[in-house]
Amino acid sequence: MAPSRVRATTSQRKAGRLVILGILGILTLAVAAGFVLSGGSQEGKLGTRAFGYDRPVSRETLPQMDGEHMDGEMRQTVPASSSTMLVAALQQQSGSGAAAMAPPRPSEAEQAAVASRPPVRTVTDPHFAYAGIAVDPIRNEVVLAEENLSKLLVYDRLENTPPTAAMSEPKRMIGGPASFLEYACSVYIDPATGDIYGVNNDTMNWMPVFGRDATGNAVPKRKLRTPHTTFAIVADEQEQELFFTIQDDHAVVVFKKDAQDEDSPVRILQGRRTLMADPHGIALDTNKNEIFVSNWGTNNDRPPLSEGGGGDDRHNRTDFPVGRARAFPGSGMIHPPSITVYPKNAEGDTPPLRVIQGPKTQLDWPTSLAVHPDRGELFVANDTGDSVIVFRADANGDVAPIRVIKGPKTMVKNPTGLALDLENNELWVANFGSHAATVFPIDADGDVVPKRVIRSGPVDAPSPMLSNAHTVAYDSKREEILVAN
Amino acid sequence: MHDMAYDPIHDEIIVPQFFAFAILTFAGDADGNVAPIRKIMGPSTQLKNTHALAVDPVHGEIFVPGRHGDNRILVFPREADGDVAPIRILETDTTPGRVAVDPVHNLLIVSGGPGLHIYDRTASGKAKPLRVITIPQDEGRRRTGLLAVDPASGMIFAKVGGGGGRHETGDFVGVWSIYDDGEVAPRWTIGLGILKDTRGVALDIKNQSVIVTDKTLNSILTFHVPEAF
Repeated sequence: MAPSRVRATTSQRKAGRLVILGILGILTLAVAAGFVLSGGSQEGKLGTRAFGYDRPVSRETLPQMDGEHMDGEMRQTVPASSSTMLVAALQQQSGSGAAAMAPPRPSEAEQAAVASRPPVRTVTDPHFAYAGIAVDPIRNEVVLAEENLSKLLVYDRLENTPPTAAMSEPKRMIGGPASFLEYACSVYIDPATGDIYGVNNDTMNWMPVFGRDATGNAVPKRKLRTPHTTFAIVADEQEQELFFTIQDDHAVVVFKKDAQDEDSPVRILQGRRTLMADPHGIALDTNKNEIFVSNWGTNNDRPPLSEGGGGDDRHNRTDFPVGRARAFPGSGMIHPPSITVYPKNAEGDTPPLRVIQGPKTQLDWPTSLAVHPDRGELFVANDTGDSVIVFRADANGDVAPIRVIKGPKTMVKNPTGLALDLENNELWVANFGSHAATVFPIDADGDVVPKRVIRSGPVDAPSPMLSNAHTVAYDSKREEILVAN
Repeated sequence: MHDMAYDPIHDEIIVPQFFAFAILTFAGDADGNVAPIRKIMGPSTQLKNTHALAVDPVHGEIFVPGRHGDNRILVFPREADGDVAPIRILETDTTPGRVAVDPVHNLLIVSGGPGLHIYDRTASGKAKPLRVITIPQDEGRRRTGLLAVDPASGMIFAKVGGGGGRHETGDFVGVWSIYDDGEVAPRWTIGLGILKDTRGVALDIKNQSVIVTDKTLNSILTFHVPEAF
């Protein structure tokens, strides 16, 4: 498959800058993309920047479009350039110009003409947007979870997109309505069988499991019902257990590895003492038997799990974490981002053993995590920090990372996925903001060139970073579109 | 995040924070690592699972619908900051979906189920809607969602879903007048046969365009429909 750049055709008179703002909240992982303007032929320059703790995520400005004017008469009901004029205009309409009664209904022919009218502009991404990643050194493959088109993509581990090539084609691709994949954000590969476990964020509350040779609109070998808003997965092969982070519930749920359908979790870690707050990544230290959880920082208070689970309006599962419908009104909190560490068998309202948090840490929407047990290091995909930061695995408090991979040579841009290849001493990064998966030596530091790169689009393809495109607003002053993912 | 608003008079962006039960206001030109200029948050707010809102820039109010069986709409002063109580609460018959304010005709429009409920802008308590627009039964199990209103023309633009699965092209943006009442078909349908899972509706009034986000298409689509304004 060869995604191509679609040229825009039309547009709006003096359509100025188009801005895409992905905003804090549920589903904001994002990965790269180009965009399609069904109208002009403009390319945008991505200007994603790190924001604060309560903030929009990215801003993308397009140059002016010189498209043809639209059909129909333009009118400026509300002058965007002047607040005073706007207030006056609105108030005046109230007295005179505003509609005072229902206008006549349009004719069927007029209705049909509008009903069949295509959009004058479409913003979309023709390229895969990499979000999650897992490497299989046994079979020499890497699997990327992709959030733009909701696919799992399998590449050769040694694939390296030449600088002049537009993209690398995956060896296999899983996705479609039968696959139970939607906004796949994380992935796990069973080392023994090569089975691929896909994790969906938001609307698809299932974890599908595929055989390693699955392709296309494949039906999963099995699937497991999960709480709403799973984000990351890690497996404990020794104990044959799967761990998931649950954003909505500020919780970690643990299932038997072979769980399926409506099987219950074997334990749940949830409660105010856990200090979890919008958890994303999860990693396991097999030497120390500890789990690490990355937290973006917002949460709320609910009854303790000891009073019984359940309370999500999407299901009636009392064996799941305490749901959002049972949250206490007005109990919301905003904390700095953190990484919390627990014994791997922790359950209930267990406080963390350690907390990495504070200004020295550089944590900025810490997303995917991985632990190198032999090196005693914790790797963090630092999404809006545009970096991969590395801590000692026993780090605690407000500590600086021991290494930081960041800079234009690295191609690290909104990294949301991360994996370690312990066989080949490599670090893999899925970059939501640059259509690229980048490979580094395990001890890489600073602004270093990746060893290899797998790209889903041209190097200069802009990334609208749309994932699960949700609400939209129009900034009439700047003629910008605001979009939350 | 399921909703957001731009205030063109004060040049501000207002967003609900779902996990923190908060309403955050940013400067219209916010860019980079910036904190909100105001934050409505805390026990007095009664906010919970804050997922949607509407701003009335003329009268300076923010409307926040409840969720999960919370059949209330909380109203805050636009300039409220910190742990502040709502200045009034409207109790609705069903859980409200989305809200939009027409500051010219002084109306509050509330979506939910197959209907659009039109209230006086200052309604509170158990006030009844002035009018209720319902989608005709022959349209099937349709439901209304995201909303936008053009105060000048009094036209309501509402996402209408339920026409099929998330992968079917069953969604559209329906357009009604604020004076419509009872079971009445939309005056205009926009995007039918294209939209699959509409998640956002905004108006570019100057250019008479409707901007729609679609979750399944993972795209932003702009329809030029001067007839509907």
